[in-house]
Amino acid sequence: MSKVAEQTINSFLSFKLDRETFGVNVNKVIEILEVPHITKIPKSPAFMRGVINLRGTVLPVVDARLKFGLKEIADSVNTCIIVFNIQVAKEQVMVGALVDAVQEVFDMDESQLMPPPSIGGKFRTDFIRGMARNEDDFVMMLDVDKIFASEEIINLQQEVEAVKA
Amino acid sequence: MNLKIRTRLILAFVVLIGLMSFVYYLGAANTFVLNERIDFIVFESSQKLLLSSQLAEDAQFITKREKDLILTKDKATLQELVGEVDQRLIAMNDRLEELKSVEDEGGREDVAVFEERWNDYLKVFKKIRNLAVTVNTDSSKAEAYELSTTTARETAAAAIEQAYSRVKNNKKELLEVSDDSDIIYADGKNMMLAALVTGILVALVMSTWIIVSIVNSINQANKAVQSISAGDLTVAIEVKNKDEVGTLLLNLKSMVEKLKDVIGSVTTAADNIASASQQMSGSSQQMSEGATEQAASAEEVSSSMEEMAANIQQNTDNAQQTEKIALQAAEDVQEGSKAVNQTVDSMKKIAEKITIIGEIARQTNLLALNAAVEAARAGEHGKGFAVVAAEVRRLAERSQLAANEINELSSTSVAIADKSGKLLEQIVPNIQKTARLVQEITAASLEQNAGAEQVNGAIQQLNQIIQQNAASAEEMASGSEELYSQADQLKDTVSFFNIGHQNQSRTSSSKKRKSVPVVHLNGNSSRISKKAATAKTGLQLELNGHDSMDSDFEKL
Repeated sequence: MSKVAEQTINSFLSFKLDRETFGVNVNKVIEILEVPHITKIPKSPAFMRGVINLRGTVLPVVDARLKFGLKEIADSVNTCIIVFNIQVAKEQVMVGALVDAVQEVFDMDESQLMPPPSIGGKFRTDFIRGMARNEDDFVMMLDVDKIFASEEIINLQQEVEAVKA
Repeated sequence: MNLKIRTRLILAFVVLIGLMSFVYYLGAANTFVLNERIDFIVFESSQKLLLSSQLAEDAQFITKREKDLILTKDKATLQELVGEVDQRLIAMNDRLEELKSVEDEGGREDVAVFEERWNDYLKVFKKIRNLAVTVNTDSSKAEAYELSTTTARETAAAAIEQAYSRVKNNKKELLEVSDDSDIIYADGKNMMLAALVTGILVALVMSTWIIVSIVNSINQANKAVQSISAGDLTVAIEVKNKDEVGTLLLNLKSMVEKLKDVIGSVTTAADNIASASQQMSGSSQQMSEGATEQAASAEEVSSSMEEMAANIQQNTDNAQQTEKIALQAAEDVQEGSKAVNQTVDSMKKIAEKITIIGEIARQTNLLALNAAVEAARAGEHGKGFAVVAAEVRRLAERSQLAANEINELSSTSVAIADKSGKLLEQIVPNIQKTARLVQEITAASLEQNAGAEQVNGAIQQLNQIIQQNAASAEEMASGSEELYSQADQLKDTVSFFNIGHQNQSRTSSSKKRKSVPVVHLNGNSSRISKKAATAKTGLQLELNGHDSMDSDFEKL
């Protein structure tokens, strides 16, 4: 997919982490999975839950709660894995993120996005593209590419490689 | 003369006995003299008279026989006559000797003259006899006759004359003795008469003296006794004499004093008895009333007990019914518990099924979301599909919501049902326990019923006893009334005796007491009685005085 096409899609997938609702462009989303058996990888960082077998390919799974500095909780029936397609150094990588619950797919213009608050806030603002209002709630639009920083991803790649090897 | 009656009587009798002894002495002396005279007459004078007259007779007899001898010729007859004469002569000699011994000086001379003359005659007589008997011829007879008519006649007549003179003398002597004794008799009689008169006079004087003194004393005593018998004990008894009657009066005086004391005591006692009996009457009446009230109360208690017994009976019935119901309830509850358990099972199954539905809904939701994502990525071409996917997702969401709700509901229902099942299971033993307790209650009620009946019986008995008590109390009341009237009567009877002013005051106080019931407040009856005994002025109740026992009572 091209970057232009990416820009033109104004549909977002919302999901929940703790009490907050986050949104990501569906462009980045490949699919949504129920939580299967997760194979733990030894000596991996805490947020790295392990890998799963996605139709024959190895998919690293990141616990979004831990990644966002939230408390770890046990998986519930609503816990899902969102499979993202992220771009790291011009390379398309698939990463699974464990979220508390997936909510819906909604349409919204980029222009309706409000800038993130500059001071304070729970999260690092460079992850957030902007705030959108969906009905009464605020939805924080995430930049998935930035969340999974390069080194982290490299680490992930290495680990995946190691698993592959 | 303050002599005792005994002394007086003894004195009188001694004097009389002395007089009588004197009279006896006089009589005895006289009779002794007279006796001597009589002895003299009987043993001497009469003997002399008799012997001399016999001698005269003998002489006459002999002279007669002399004639017979002369006249008789028959020898046999002669012999017979001779024998007779001899016998007579011997007897005559004896008599003569006797007379000689008996006669005194003068008499003996007379007898000697007679003997001399008689001996003269006897000489002649011997001749005559010789002639008439031994010779016994006509001549001799004639000679004898001659002799007989001459000398014999003369001598014999002289002898007989002498004998008769002696008889005459003796008669004269006897008359003299008789005259003597007459004089003695008269003297004695006179002396005795004088003594008798003296005795009678002395006896009269002494008896008068004694009688007068005794009658005086006795009259005095009699007066006192009369006034005592009239009930007057105030009579003053003066003791003038120191004789027995005086002692009697003294004793009578002390008796009157004692009687006064006794009657005073009796009156006090009667007063006390009257007041006590009144108190007793009041008390027993109160007791009777109390007993009547008791009886009424006991009756009430009895009826209450009967009601209670009925209630207990009802309780028993109810408890029995309750027990049945409780048992039934226990069974029902057990069944209910089973049903609840079944319900829980069913609910659990439903929950499972709903969970499957929920799962399906969730999966559908995921699928819808995936489809929506795919549709969004497809851009304009996926729009229609996106709408369908959103719709499906919404349906799935709703189903999941509903499933969740159902799940929640079923889980709460299961919890509730489980709880109710547990509660029901808990209830069962409770109900069973209740049934058991109710059974115990039934038994207890039955026992209570029996107890109530026993109590009822006891109360009936109590009632009877109380009624008896009431009757007894009433009897006691009437008895004490009777006692009171008896005491009153006693007082009346005793008031017959007048013992001075105290008596009057006592009767008035007793009359007062009749209207006012005596209440014994001092608490010391012995003290009161003692006081009454010492004061003898009836009971004086000290109501203001402080007593040791007063402190026990509150002053009203």
